This record gives sequence, structure tokens and C-alpha cells, in this order.
Amino acid sequence: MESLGVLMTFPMNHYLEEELERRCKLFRLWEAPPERRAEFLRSNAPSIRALVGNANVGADADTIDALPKLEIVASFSVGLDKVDVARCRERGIRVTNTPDVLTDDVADLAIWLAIAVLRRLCEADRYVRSGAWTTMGDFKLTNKFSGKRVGILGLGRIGLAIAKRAEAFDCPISYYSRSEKPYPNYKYYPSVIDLASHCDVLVVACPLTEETHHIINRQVIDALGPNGVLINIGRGPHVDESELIAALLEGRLGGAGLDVFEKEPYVPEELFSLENVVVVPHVASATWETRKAMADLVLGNLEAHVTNKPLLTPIV
Amino acid sequence: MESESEPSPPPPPSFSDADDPPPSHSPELPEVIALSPLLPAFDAALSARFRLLKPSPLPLSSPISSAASAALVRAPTRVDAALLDLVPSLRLVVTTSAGLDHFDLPECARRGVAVASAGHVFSPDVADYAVALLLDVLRRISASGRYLRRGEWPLRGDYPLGSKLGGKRVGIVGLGSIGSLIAKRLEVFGCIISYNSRKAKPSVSYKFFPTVYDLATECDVLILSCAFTNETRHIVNKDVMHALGKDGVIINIARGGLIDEEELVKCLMQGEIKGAGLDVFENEPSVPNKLFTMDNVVLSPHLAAFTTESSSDLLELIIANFEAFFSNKPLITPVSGKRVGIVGLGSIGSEIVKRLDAFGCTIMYNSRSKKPSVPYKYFPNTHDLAVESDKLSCALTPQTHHIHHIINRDVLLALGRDGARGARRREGIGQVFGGRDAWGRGSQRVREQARRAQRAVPDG
Repeated sequence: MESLGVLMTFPMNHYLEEELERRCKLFRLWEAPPERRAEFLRSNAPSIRALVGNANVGADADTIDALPKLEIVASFSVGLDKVDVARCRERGIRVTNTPDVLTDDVADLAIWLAIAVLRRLCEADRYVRSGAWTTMGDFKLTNKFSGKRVGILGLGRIGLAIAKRAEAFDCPISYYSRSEKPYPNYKYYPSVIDLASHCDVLVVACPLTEETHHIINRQVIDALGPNGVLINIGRGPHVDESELIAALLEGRLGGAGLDVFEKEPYVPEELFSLENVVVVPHVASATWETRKAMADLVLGNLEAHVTNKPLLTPIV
Repeated sequence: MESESEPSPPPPPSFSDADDPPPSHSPELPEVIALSPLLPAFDAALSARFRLLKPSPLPLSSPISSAASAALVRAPTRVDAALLDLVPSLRLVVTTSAGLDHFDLPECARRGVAVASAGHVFSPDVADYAVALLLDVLRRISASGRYLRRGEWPLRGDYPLGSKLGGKRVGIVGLGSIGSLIAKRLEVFGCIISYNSRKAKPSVSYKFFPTVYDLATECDVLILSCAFTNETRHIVNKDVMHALGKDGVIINIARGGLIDEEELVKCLMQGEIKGAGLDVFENEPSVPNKLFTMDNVVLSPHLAAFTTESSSDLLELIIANFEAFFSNKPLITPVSGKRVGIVGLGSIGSEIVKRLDAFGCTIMYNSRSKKPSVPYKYFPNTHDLAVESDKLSCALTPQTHHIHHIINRDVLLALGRDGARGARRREGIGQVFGGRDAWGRGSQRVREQARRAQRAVPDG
């Protein structure tokens, strides 16, 4: 696909970048300073037929409009909140994402965050490294994970994978979804507040849309309560971050494990001082195995597109 | 009802309901001796149900005049001949841990002192922590968190990639209560489970390796969940670590002494293994300082077992064990002795069983036919009996000479390394293949079989 002009929006993955460089005509959006972006797009637009974006920088309406030759948006992510899918549909632009290949890693991280918050794993590690164990004695008792009621917001691929794992820890599973699903072992709740009121660990695992923006608001946080733990492996904007911080500081929420934030890579520093909070820098799919699989999926979709074959993982 | 023969105390002033039975001499609470310092919660809960004796100073160094038959100990208080001599009235010692390295169990058995442990109360919490440590080391999650907190995310971009857990070959050393829960969890994460244990467990589907070294050569991860004994000290040594390899990860939630710690630190520094998750260390609370700056290790201060839930479960269990004891019911979590398989349950076999029973052994037997009047588990053949036994005792008679080769190679291999080892000593051979002199030639042939089988079962 040497003639395919590809705009990569962000330095998301070395291997992907090298392959695109090798096999296509690659344009790197981040090489243009922010104030020169529009010009960069304008001058290269005639050549750009494909866009590869990710959770950092996708394809919003302005970008799509600036690229009249755009045929396909291949996102290096499963979430498409950064792609104006409706605009693509209007223009007849194909859209692909990277489902399934990252499901395991994301689900693994969700479980890890729950254990890490309840068992104070990071704090315990700091305790040893600081030498406190020799001077201040044993660490305190923490909270058991096994058997806790796990509530999953969104029972898609990732939500199901989280449920399967939590079951191995004897956790009763409940969920909220737009509609009830055929899993008799998992208890369905018709609202997020109901779900939050009846679980100990609430995991956000749904797509980010207009409807799910700030789906975790003050009411849900209060329903989860002072013994409840919120785990977010979805998108930062799923959670009203300032409400979350207030609740944590006031003790109205028992704890939080967060992989995503409203304004990545900026994380509110109030979260650093709380022992019942674990924050990590959007690492849910960050293994070399999974990122390579994601990259191969992006490349495979582009290849299929230029050879007029069925796309591997189309959304549009 | 008031007893006629004993004077009763006057009714308390607040007592006014005529329908209630009159107050009687309040029953003496059973006595429990605390032979180790108690945590306040335990002290309070036990004092509410029992007459809790707290001799001082501890550890006990002189005899105490008490008729108390039950005691509570915490590691590292040693329960051995010396302690039992000081409290000869003891018939039960309950301990707060699952590990029993602080007990001289044969001595307890000799004196008819029952032992109750923490059973499985800690197992889920330890298994949970082992999984979290493994994920953390492979994925470098805590390290990425430190990176974030240092403010590096906006400056330097995404943290370097870790390695996926799914598909990793995990070798579990010790497939007991904790090890099997770890296996059950990691299977769901897509790991391929194999294990090393003193002997293979036919009821599990995981691949068995006879030595930790062999296990290490075919795994990406080693998780230690076995008992710490003289045999298992430094079971993870330089050779095992090199066999595990440069992508290898070690998780230790058992005892620090299982690993040659100095060697481990060297291997980590030199990249001979990829990383380690450690909850336990050789000289707690001292931890080798070199580990403190490593991003490929995750450390914790021996806390894998300890949650508020497991502590309250433990307290409940301790109380339940004492209450069972005092009401002559079976203990909830008795520490059973060795499982002994008796081949031949005639007059001699029955005598053997009587003695072994008194030592707290679990008896099973093989005989030409099942004996319904006997309360022990029956096995229709010697091989199946050997699979379930720690030791095999043969008590056949000259009349049964037609089954000379009843203890054959297959039976010896099923018995396993520890069982077969018993055959090496002269009296052990007699015990295993023993019986009458009339066996003469038969037992010599069997001894040869034992030696050949012993060579086939490699030592770890």
C-alpha cells in the first residue's frame, strides 16, 4: 500500500509507526507544532486517504473536514469517543477499531486495580521501600477482595471478561446495561444508582458517548458509599472528576482505582495523597503483546481497504 | 434448677421476673491458656467465652499450676517437649496460623495433644495478593504509578510497555490450599498452570514436575506456596533462577527462606530474571536495600494473609475449635497426622491401626475384601491406596504368599518420593514390605524392586 497516504495523529506505537513508514506514505501530525496544525493538514490533505488515531488524538469533525480525500479512519483503540463517527458515516468514510485483542489486558487491569485499592498494594510497597517496616512495625490490616460484590457498568466484551475473572475470586456479579443480557448468574440492575447501591466494587466498562458522559456523578458516588470502591478503566469523562475528588476527600467514597482521567496526561494531585486511591497512566492495554496485536489489526484493516477486501473490524 | 447439694449465691437485686428459673451457681467457663501474647481483639473475644489464663512472663519458662486442657499459641512460640512439660494438663493446642513449623507435631501426637490450625481462613487473601503481585510485576503497574506521581506523564509520554499475563506458563510450587486457589484464579486469566509438589496429585489436570528446577525450565513464572522446611530451604537457588531465565518472574507469598535471597538480588540486578514480587524475606523486617530502587520488583511487608475479614474469620474459627473441644465434638480444623495405608487388615494390621490411630494418623486400607465394620476408607487395590497414602504399611501373612509382588514398582511410584524413602531404612523396608520371616525370598525381591523404583524417583 505504498501509495496510501496515512496521517498518524499521535506517536502511539513505534512498531506501528515503523510499519506505516515502511509500507505507506506516512504523515506525522505531531511533527507540526499546534499552531501550524491546520496548515500541515491543508498542505498534505491531497495525499491523505487514511487516518490512524488513538485515545489521545482521534479524528474530530474539523480534522475530517480538512481531509477531503479521507477514505478510512483506523483507530488504534477500541473506544471511538475521539472519532466523529457520524461525520464519517455522512462522508462515507470507513471506520475501524481494535476490539478483542485488548480485552484480556484491560480486564486484568480492572481486577488488579480493585485488589490494589482494597489491599493497599502500592502503599504497602512504599512502606517497605521507605524502610518503615523496620522502624514502624507491621502494616495494618486491609480489606479482602475475594467475595466482594462486583458491579459492572456495561457488559460488553470487556465487562464480560471482568465478570469472568471476578467470578474466580467468588465475587457475586451484578451489572447495568442498556438492556438485560442472557447471563442468569449475573444480576441485572435497571439503573446505575441501583447497581451502585448493591455492590462493593463498581467498574466502569462501557463506551463513552453523550449519554454516558459523567455517568458516575455525585448521586452514584454517594450510592456506592464510604465502603464502596470505584474502578475506571473506561474513559476519564465517564466520571465527574471533581465530584469524585470531593467524595474521596470527605470520606463519602471508600476508594478509587483509576486508569483514565478527564484531562490526560494531567492528573489532579489531590489523588496522590489519598491512601485509598490508586492512579496509573492509562496502561490498560499497555503490553507489547497487545499493542502489537492492535497495530497488526490497524495495518490489516488498511491493507484490506486498499485491496478492496472486507475490513477486519469495521464499525462503519 | 438449683442444686440441692451446693449453696447458691443470693439472687442479684435486679432479678424480678418470677417466671425465670432461679439463679444457680453459674457454670465455670472452660479454661484456655494463652501461651503467646494476644492481640487485643482476640483477648477480648476469648475472655468473653472462656476463662482466659494469661501466664506471665511469656514465653513460658517454668511449670504453671493449672489443670487447663486447652491453650492458644501464636507463631513463633514453639510447641515442643519443653513447653508441653511445663503444662502437662494440655490436651489441645490451637494456633493462629496455617503454617506449623513452630510445632513438634510427632511430640504432640506422642503425648495425645491435639492440634488445631487456622485451616484455610487465610488462603483466599494470600491467593488474591499473589495474583496482584504477579500482574504488577509483569505489567509494571506500580512502577507506572510512581512515574505518574513524579509528574513524568506529561513530560515524557506514556510509560514503557509491560508484558501480558494471559498465555504465561505459571509454575506453582506447592499445590495446597493456597496454591490451588492461585491456580484456579490464574487459569481464568489465561495462564497455563503446572506445578511441583512432594508428589503428583492425580485429581488435578495441571502438569506435574518432580523438581522445582524442572518446573522452572518450562515456566515463565514461579509462584512459591509451599511449606518452609529443612527440605525446602533455598529451594529456589541460582540454578533454578537461571533455568527460569531472563524473562522469568518469581512470586513469593510463602516464606523468605525458600529463596536464596542474596542470589535473587544478584539475578535481578544482572537481568538473569526479569522481576519478582515478594511478600516475605529471609530476615524480616529487613529487606535487601538494593531492591528499593528496582522497578522490576514489587514488595510488601508480609501482609498477604492479613485482612480484617480473615482476622475475624480466624477468631471465629479459634472459638469454634475450643467450643468443639469442650463439648467433645470433633475439632473444626484438626491437624491430621500422616495418612497411612495398611495393606492387609488382619490381626496384625488391626494392632498397627490401633497405635497409628492414637498418633492421630489417618488410616486407609487395602484388603482382599472390604470390611464393613471398619471405619476406614477402603481401596480395592494397593496402587490406589498408595496414591492417597504418605506411608504404606504391609501386614500380610505367610498364607498370603501368592501376593508377594503386591508391592511392585507401580505401587512404589504411586507412594511417591517421601513414601518410598521410608523404604530405604532397614526397619522401613520391614515396615513397608514387612511381615514374617517366611517372606524371606519374597521380601528380598521386593527390596530390589524398591531400590530400582527409588532410583526412578528423582530427588529434588
